[in-house]
Amino acid sequence: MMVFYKKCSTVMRHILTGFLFLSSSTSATIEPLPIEVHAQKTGAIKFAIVLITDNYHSNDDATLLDNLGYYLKKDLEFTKQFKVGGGSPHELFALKSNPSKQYLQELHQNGYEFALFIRQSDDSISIDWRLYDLDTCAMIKGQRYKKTGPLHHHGQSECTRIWAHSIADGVWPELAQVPGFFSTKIAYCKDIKDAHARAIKHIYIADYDGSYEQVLINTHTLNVAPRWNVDTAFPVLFYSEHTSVNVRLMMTTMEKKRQIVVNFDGLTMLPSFSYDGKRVAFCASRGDGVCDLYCYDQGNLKRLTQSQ
Amino acid sequence: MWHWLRNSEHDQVRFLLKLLAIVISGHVLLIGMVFFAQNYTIYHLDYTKTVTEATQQPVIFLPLHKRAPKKQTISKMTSTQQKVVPTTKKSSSKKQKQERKSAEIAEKTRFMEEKKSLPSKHKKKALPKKVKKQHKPTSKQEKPALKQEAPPRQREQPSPTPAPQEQPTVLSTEQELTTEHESLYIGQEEKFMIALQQALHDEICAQWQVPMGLSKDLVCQVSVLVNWQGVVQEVRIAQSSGVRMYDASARTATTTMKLPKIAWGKEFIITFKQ
Repeated sequence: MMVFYKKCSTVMRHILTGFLFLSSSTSATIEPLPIEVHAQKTGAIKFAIVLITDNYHSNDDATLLDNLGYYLKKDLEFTKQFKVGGGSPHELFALKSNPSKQYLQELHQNGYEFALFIRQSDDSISIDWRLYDLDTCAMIKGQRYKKTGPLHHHGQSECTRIWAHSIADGVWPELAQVPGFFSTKIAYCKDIKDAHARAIKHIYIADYDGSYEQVLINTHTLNVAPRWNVDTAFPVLFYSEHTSVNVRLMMTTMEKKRQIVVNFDGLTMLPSFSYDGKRVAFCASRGDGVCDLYCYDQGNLKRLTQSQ
Repeated sequence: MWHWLRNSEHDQVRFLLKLLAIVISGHVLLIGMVFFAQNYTIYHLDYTKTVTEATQQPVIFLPLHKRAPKKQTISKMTSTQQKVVPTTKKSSSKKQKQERKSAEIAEKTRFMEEKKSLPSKHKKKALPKKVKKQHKPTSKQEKPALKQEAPPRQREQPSPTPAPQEQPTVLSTEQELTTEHESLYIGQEEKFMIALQQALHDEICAQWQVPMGLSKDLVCQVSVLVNWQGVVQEVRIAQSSGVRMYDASARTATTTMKLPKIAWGKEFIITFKQ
């Protein structure tokens, strides 16, 4: 009798298991409900910058990494697409060792979607960064930069800013699928009064957001219409300088080495380069009082318009 | 509980009891499957389609106890067309009858004219038989007679008048049928699903904050699985937009939204568009 009961219970158990399996399989094949949503408001995504402090040999190292994080935060928040969070002093996180999966999960639970870990190498000659997707706890990209430029205390601020821009340029395409713009410079002319209270114009350059402006051309003349060339490896700035006889086209390097480009009669200004940098169009009057467009293509100067 | 089994310890009885137990459990299993299948087929509703079609089609709200009929397929339409064809034949046969009657009347008049011209003896022999046959045919006799008469008339009048007359009637019936099928039935299940979709749509719209400055063509699909406690159990990017920032914003919106109770224990695919 007991044997029969046991057998029955076994059979029933198997049937129940089968039933549960079938029911779960049927529920797994349900077609999900489709919903379509259109964006109604904009907002920023939470982004964490974490400084790994295991290789701090001196206070300078701490200051350098801290400044780097600060400039990075500034760059990312300028876009208004990220809200960078963290602790003090520059609202950044600090970690004494490499991040664990648990740490990444904790960040994600706090609402952060991405995290950037910055670390100085053991020999203090390079800085590396790693970008993580906190939802999957997977690394998106990582890169190492060798420190270049003046590293003394006075020049450290500018260097770290440039390094931060470079890191932001490396991170940005991974998040937005467009090239970064943080290392770009804007050039403009500015009204200045000289010692005799005469109005002159100087050429300035500044960061992409207008901060950290630097004077590039400060002669006692009117310098207007600055234009960049297209070579990012060797940037050159073209501008027009008013002299007593004409308005000539000048160029300058970032080291402030100036050179005359075109010295026709009348005015010559506003050069515009092709993408390959081989052709340039500009406007010139050549002393006849009427401005026309000219194209300079590999040694040949061609007049494009015939104004009267 | 098992005392009743004492009298039936024989092997055959045991076997029968086992068989009975298996059959009962099998039935239970089948009923359970049917129950699950019926419950989960509710979620096959295309909300976007219903909304777009609702502007053009009549919406019919059904009472509580009625279910919305399923959509008519092409095969069903063809079957309805086949049903329509006999009605047209009937209408055509009526016309043929009318034509025959008119022909008979014409013959009668002709015969009467002949009768007037013929002597009276011939009239009595010839007339009654023919008239009786023509005027009072039995139903059984009439059908074969019509079948026999029809071919020579077609020969006499070769113009294809009946075919073009039939076509418009068929088309009109088809149109009527299609307009009937296009009407939109909304039962309790559909009403429930529309309410659910609307609630979720509003909630996601409130939560979703897209990063500014991104392309307007970005589309991201997120699959969300909600457990029976109302907690988002799984969020999966079903179709990425290609921009991590955008995907992350959509993901965040799904995790932060407060789900209404009707959404518990369900799975959704949310399409995020700019």
